[in-house]
Amino acid sequence: MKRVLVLGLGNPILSDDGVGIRVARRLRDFNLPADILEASAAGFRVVDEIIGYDRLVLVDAVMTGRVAPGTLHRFSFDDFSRALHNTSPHDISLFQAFEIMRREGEKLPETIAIYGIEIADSSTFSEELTPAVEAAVEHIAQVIRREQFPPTD
Amino acid sequence: MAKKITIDPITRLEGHGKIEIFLDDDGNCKNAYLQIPELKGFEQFAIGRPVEEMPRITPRICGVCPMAHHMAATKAADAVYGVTPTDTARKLRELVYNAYIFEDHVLHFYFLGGPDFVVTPQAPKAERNILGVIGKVGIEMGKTVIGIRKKTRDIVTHLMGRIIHPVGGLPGGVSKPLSEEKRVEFLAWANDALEFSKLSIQVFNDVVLANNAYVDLVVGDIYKHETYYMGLVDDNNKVNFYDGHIRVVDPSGKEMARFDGQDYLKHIAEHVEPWSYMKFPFLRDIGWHGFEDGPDSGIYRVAPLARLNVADGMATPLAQAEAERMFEILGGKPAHNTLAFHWARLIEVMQAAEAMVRLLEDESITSPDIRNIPTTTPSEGVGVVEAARGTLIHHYKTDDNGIMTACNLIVATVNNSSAMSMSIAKAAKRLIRDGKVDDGILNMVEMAFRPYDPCMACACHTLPGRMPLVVNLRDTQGNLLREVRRD
Repeated sequence: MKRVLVLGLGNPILSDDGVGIRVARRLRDFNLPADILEASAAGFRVVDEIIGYDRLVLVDAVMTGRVAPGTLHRFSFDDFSRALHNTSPHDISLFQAFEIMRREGEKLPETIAIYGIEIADSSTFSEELTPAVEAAVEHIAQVIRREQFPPTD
Repeated sequence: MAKKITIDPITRLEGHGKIEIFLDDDGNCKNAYLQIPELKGFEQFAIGRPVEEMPRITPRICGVCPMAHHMAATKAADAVYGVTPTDTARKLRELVYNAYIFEDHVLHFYFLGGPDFVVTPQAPKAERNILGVIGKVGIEMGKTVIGIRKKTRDIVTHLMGRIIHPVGGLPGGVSKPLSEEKRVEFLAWANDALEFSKLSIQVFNDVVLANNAYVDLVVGDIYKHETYYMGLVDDNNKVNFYDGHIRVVDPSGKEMARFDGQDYLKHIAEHVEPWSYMKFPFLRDIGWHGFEDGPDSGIYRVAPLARLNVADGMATPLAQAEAERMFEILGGKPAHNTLAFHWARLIEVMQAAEAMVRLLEDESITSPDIRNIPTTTPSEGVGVVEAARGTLIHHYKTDDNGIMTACNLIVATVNNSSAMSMSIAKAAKRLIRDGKVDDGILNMVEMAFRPYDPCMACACHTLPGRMPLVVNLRDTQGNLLREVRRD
């Protein structure tokens, strides 16, 4: 049996930043054949959670400013593979952390799907999402369920 | 025409901290600033919540230093309830806190600051990262770093419930005792951590101190500021991360103030600049005199080198010997060399490891007496700890039911905000000449703030990892002249 991890990332008290966690919590309701975890951290502090899984589905907030809040982006791991610089001054990027752990011989997921949800506000302390992002949570959870855990009948 | 350069070290979100460099008509750096927008509304978020929830809420402010916020909030809640933790609870808190300092500092040295030293500042950017560091120190050392971090994180996880969002601290104590079996297991790990700290000092000796070019950078004037320093010291004026008195020394090393956490407002005031949301704390008795160093400017620094400067010594013997060696090489105490924050960080790694060993050798740490139940009416309290990146102050007021009515935080990085801007400006002025701004020079400007290990409350953000560092050249009207993407 392949081990699958759905990981919602973000900060649940920083407005839309927590949308990845909100979606992960909704996915938990569906009794999917996966572990569903949430984390408010980045880089090396997250990668410990991922070791040992065969497949990873990552859900996080994104702010490109180019599309409407609530829009779903799909990324592949390769989209980030060139990002070897530090993404913040005090931690390394998750993708850099992956590369290190691979080189050190750790077992990391072979299949990685990355969903990014466009957000509007990530600098106000609040447990509420902004309206457009809140309205998208259910739909996005259903899309991820359908794409990542299709019916097997 | 004057130009503006922006170094934008952000992930996916706008405005989480950038370096603005203004050039004059000749292409020399006129001035430079670090901008760190503050997150909004935490005070309102906290008001109306039970104070005992604060140790679980505040770690979410920042995914980088959750343990520091957890412990500052727990200590503030102790003070609000007027309760002192039991001896055992204090030992357990100190144990996890030293484990956190160890782990956080190791991450910084090898993964964040290390690339500047171990790989060289001017190396191609594709090598100037942790993979480059592992390439230099060897894959086995890489394994050792990862292995020791895991052990210290496991200690924290065991005692605090969770590593990223700890829940173990309660007003008057902690939620979980340590078993004898775990004490023995963790003592072995703490000894591993101590051996690792010796190895790390050796890496610093071999890679940095053996290289004259690096030593010149460390002791040179580009990365040097004579400022006041602030940090916690114990009753004997030794470095303490978990608890103590706030001590301030002047640029000559003389004690200028020594006070307890609840008096912080008598000593610290905050300056505001129109170009930044971040506040600039300064020493009230000296006053704000702009972004200047020296004894007449109230700007002070916190974090590893500051802690070593304010203390009479380290609290543990091996770290003390290393600190003496560092000050001797740097030409005396206090040391004003910003890049020596990296060195001081490794000495603190050693003290943290020695402290873990000492705490775990004490069999009484397994006592079940882990909490004093609060019995007084809650009111107001201040909790202070040394976060990895400097003095962290939580100040709460509550009503008679322990419901929050006011909240003020001075976070570690903010204490260093003036110094970081000053350090960046000095480096940029020395390094940028005639409009020549290549990648190596920009990295050397960034090197002026990395020693402070700044936390910009943005660590929760991950996507997209590909967002590059952006350097914008603008004219005086803010028009974009050139954009350099550093991916």
